[in-house]
Order: sequence, then C-alpha cells, then structure tokens
Amino acid sequence: MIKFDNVLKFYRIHRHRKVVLNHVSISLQPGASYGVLGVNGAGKSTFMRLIAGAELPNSGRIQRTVRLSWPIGFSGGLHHTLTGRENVKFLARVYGEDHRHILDFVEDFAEIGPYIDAPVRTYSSGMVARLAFGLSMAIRFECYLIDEVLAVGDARFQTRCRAEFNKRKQHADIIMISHDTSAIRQYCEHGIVLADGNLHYFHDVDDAIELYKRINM
Amino acid sequence: MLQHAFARIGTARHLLDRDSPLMIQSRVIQAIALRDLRTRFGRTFAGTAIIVIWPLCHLLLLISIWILARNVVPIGTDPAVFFGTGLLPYILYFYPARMIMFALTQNRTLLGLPAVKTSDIIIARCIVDLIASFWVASIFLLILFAFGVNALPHRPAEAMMAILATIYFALAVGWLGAVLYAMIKAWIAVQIGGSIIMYVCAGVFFIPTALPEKVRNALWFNPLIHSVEWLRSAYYDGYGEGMLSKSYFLWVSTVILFIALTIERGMRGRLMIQH
Repeated sequence: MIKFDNVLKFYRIHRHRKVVLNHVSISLQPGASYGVLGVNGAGKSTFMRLIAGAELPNSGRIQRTVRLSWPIGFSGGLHHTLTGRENVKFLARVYGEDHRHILDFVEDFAEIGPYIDAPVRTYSSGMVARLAFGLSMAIRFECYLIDEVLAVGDARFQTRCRAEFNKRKQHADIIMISHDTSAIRQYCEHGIVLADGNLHYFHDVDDAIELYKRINM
Repeated sequence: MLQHAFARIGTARHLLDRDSPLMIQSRVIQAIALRDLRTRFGRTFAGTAIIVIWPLCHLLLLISIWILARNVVPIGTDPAVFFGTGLLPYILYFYPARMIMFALTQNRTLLGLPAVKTSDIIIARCIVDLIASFWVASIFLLILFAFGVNALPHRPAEAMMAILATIYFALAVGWLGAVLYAMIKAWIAVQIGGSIIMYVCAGVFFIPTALPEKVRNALWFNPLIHSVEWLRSAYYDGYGEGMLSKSYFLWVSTVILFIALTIERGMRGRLMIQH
C-alpha cells in the first residue's frame, strides 16, 4: 500500500509559490492499478517522484509497504563509465537479486550483444534505453511506476517491451502517468485526476478519463 | 532463452523477499560502496588504487620536502618520524573529508531509485574512505620501515587511537561538507580553505608548547592540533602535556557529526533536488 497522509508539496519559482499537492490524503491499495491524468504542469511527474521517494513532501507523510520500481526506462541508476554488465550487477545488488539471473535476462532482452561489456558512455541513446528498460523488467517489483514511457526503441522492440510488460502486469500493480487515455484504460482500473493541487480519485478509470477530457478542452 | 531467464527471475508476489529495513539498507550501502570503488577514478584496478596512492604520494612528497628543507627537528632524532606524525593526521583528515563532501553531488542520480536514500550514499563513501585511510596509514608505515626508519610508536594503542579519532573527525567534517555542498556550492571554498588553515596551524612543523602562550591558547581551538599532539604523544614520552585534549577533539567531531545529521534529516528534501 502507498498512503499519502495530508501531503503538501510546493515549489518556489521566482518568489511565486506553485502548489502541486495541497494537503492531499489518498491510499493506493495493493492489487489495484491506477492511472494518473492531468494537464501539462499539473504535477503528475512530481506525484510520481513523491511515490518513488525521489522527492519529499513539504509536510505530511508518505508510507510505502510495497517494493516499488523506479519509473520504467529511468536510466539515472546507470553509471556511464561502467559497462552494462557492471551496471546490471550494481542494480541486482541494490535489490538483493542474483545478478547472474538478472544478467541473463537483460542480455537476452536488451539485444545489445557484446556491448554488454562496453562502458555505457559508448552506447547509443537507443541502447541505453533498451538496457534501462531491460533492467526495469528483470528486477522483481510489486508495483511498477510508469511516467509516460511504456516502450522504447523501434517498432519491433516496442512490441517486445509491451509483451514483456504485460507479463509483469499479471503479477504486479501499476501506477501510470500518461496523456494516452487508451493506454490508461488498457492497464488501469482506477483513475486519479490531478488538478489545482487536488487529487480526484475515481473507482472507474473511465470516469477519470471523462473528467480529464473536460479539463483538457 | 528469454522465457527461460524470465522463469528463473519469477514475478509472483510471494517470491519477493521481505528483508528487514536494516538488511535492505546494508545491501544498498554495500552496492554503492563497491560502485564508488570502481567509478571514482576509473573502473580498472589502477583507478581503484589511486584512492590510496594519491594521498600516499601527497604524504611522501610533503615529508621529502620537509626533510630536505629542515634536517634538524625540535624533538626526537629522526625527521621522518617528526614530520610523519605531523603530516599523517593532516592527510587522514583532508582526503576523506574532501571526498565525502562530493558524495551526494556525484551520486545524486541514484536517488531516482526508490531503494536509495541520501544517507546511504554518504555512508557508502565514508566506508570506502575509512578503508582507504587504513591502507594509507599501513603502507606509509611499511615505506618508513623499508627506508630504515624506526617508525614503531612507544605506545602503539595510543597511536591507533589517535588515527581512529582523526578518521572520525574526517568523517564528521566530510558528512557536514556533503550536505552543505549539495545545497551551497561555495561551501567547497570554506572547507578547503579551513582545512589549509588548520594544517598550517596544526603544529606539523613546530612544537606548539614552544610558542608564546597567547598564540598557543588561540591554536588550542584547532581540532587538528590535538590530532597531531595525540599521535606524537604515542612516539615521544611526555609530549602533548598542557596542550593535548583528547576529549575536546572527540567532542568537536561528535558535535560536527550531530550538526551534519540534523541538517541531513531536516533538509533531506532539498538535498534530493539538483541545485
């Protein structure tokens, strides 16, 4: 479960206070997937970073009792002077996984061939994305965070990403940010609309999409 | 093949481990420390060795210069021991404190991983520099022996305590530096400038008790002078009397560490954001 208890989050921009979450309380239950919608600048990505623990609220509490992924496709955990193999080992250690199994999976999935033993700085942006995505899929999580990116690479690789992700979806929850309402409808049963610092929760994701469309008009 | 690998990874909820928070944190710290060893100066063995070789070369260079410049020392018969006991505390303080200061800014992207906390990054760097400090001190002692210098202290336990206290001071200053430098870039000038002033006033090249009382009283507040006095008291009988305060040195370190931990806890939100 991920529980927001009276969470206030704001940024100071040129003496102006921009409130992203205005004393918000919500419980995201295990066994359910949530789609987060909102117009540009509403604070969806901040909401995601708060869930991941990559940012802290100004006040209030956030409790997490699930093993959360980093946002899928996030490559900030990769060190550019280390090889792909060394980066895989590092992340496997962080999450207490057997690095050989993780490496087997990533080598097969990411299709970067001998580049797995080359420093990541020598990779093309597409190869970095494939490695990062492969790592996101290789390590077991109870809840996956998706900030727009659900697939990377060319059309064929994107199909593989979606197929692999669908397998994870059978055993794990999703919290997904997207402007793509059809993707939200496909992967999430519940919806949250973020507007003016408030979270509007909808048990039925279609109701959330309906409100989002009205706000976005 | 992919299916085979996936089958071994598994995804079912019940397969996920339920390690205690302490276990998870120790795992994360260990992983970051190993990564730090391989990335600070390059991923080869030579890159890892530089963590020890750099301060060691600095130490040997300074000693060589001072032995050449002043062959007569105010206490004892061996200039290498006199300058060594003065310079070793400085090196064991300066390098770890400086490297720990960069810990957060160099690894901030790791905070994008939900498992990693700011304190994990700083603790990992402290561990690496703690180990490096022991290597520097040990290799330095061996080099002195290799050159025929009798570098064994009269009171080895006291020497070890002095070295441990100095490393503790370095870790405390480094921790404070890490949190302040992550928010205020100008902090680097304060820490490096302060370290140089402490070094010049630490009694590395002179005996503090030989100075006028007013100067001595002012220098007494320099924590590094107590580190040098402490280590030398293990080599020279009666050295440090009237000047050395072990409790002051340990208290200063503890207060600095407490301030650092308080700022780190209170400003964690700001530390996580790139400035």
